[in-house]
Amino acid sequence: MDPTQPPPRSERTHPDFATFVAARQQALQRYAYLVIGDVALAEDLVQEALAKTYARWGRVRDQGNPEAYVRRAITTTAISWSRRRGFRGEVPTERLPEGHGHEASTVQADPGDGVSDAAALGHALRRLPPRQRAAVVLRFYEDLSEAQTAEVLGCAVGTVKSQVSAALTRLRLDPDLPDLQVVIR
Amino acid sequence: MSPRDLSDLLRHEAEQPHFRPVDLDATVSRGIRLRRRRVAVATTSLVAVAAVVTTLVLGVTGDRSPRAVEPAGGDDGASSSVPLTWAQDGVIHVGSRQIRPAHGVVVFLQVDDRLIVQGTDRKVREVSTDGDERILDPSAPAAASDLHPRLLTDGRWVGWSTGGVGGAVEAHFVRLDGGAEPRAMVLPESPWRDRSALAAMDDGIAYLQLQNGVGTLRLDDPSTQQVDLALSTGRTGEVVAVHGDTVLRYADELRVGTLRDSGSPLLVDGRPLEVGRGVLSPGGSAYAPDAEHLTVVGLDGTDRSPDAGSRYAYFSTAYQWLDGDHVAAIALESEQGPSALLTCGLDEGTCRTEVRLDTTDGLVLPVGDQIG
Repeated sequence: MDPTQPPPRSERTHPDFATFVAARQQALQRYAYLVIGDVALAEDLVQEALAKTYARWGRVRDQGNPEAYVRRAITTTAISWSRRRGFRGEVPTERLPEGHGHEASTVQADPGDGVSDAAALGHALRRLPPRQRAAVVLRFYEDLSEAQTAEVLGCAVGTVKSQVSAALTRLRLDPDLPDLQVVIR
Repeated sequence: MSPRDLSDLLRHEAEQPHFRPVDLDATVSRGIRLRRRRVAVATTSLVAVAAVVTTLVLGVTGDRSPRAVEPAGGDDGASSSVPLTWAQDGVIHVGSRQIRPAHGVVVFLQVDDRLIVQGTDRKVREVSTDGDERILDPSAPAAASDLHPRLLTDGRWVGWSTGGVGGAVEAHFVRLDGGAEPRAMVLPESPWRDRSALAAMDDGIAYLQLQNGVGTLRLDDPSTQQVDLALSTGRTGEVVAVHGDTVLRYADELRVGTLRDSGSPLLVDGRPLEVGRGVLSPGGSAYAPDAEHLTVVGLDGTDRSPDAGSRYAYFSTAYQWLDGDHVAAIALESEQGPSALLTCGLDEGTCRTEVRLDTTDGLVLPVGDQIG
């Protein structure tokens, strides 16, 4: 580093925020990817959620669980983005103008059974409504309880139960997931 | 596939991608801007409380109805002389007037004082405020049900698409003042699954989104039957809006260029706009993206966003230019909560609540397109 230059903005303010980001960014990006279903969008989503967290960092840090706050921000922002993408009634298309898509972000499935199954699940997840998708990821990836999931989604426990139930019904009916098993914890 | 547990599959799926590291400096910069905006919103809410109180007092003295019109943002809110128009449950509201078209309202446009409506029978009609209706082009078939319904206008011509069920998709164009014969043409293949190639209209030219560029059709020249193809340099993308030589395209970010040059990203607060829908001002100098929070940006990058007010911090977006300085916006207090239509002044920087709606179910705005 050039000693004549000031340090980056992130090092001048809240060094503990930088430490938190360095330690947890990959876990947050993996969670965001499951919720939003696209690598580039997941990266943007985490960046936006972390920015929202930084805007309240003092209070969030003092509450003692910044990762829960970021996860909540990721979830609500993802639901909002999904809703906004459909605001003008847009329907996802299979053929886009050249250069339109996120081709570089496409995840290639490995030939192994587990990864192929996982990729099939990823596709099936992306067909779920955003709230159902988030509820499934929170319950079965983050292993949150129904009450904790409700807190992240900002809804009643009963709503979580109905969202998860509806999502699991759709996943079980998905022809690409014929042998899906779900262990309710 | 052997039986697999959902949790295991989720972990497998989550571990597949490779992510770029978080840009910490950009994150912190964005966080600082959000913090400033939060402080600004909190300050504005105090002003808004004072303004609502003023309005209520005026209502009591009979000078103004507090139910019909109340400020959404700071000061007294901005208003335009143009009455807001919207449709709900098959009834078009033009200010205080109500019109119920015989075939309902799937999408509609307001062109000056004309209402152009596509009804549930997929025919396109002009509907007068007296309730009289006429089919714009009797020779045009009904639009196919698998095509996204959409009406476009440049202020003189109205265009829409028909066909589509296993057959050729046609575009139909009608000049509203009757100064030219209706035009029809078979459209080239669209890059979209559910929309025709008809992407934009401006100054007598229809712009068609093609697989490999943008096509133009000059409507005022009856001898023109061919689509002129313009291939862009640099990144291509979807044509969003056109004004004169300026073409706005979207391909991951909104870009301002020309027909043959995709140009450069439109930046707001130093960040590219990542919204692929929006409306261009009548003069082509400013753009209101279909963003999550009311945003208006000059094509020179100037932020001209009015303040929708803290009540609508959840969601607000402009959907129509009322004139060169005013936009109409739709705003929500919460996901399931009440919504409102606002008029917002760019010079004043404020908005006024014009219409309160209990629900957005069945709501159609005069943009020629459906809201989701």
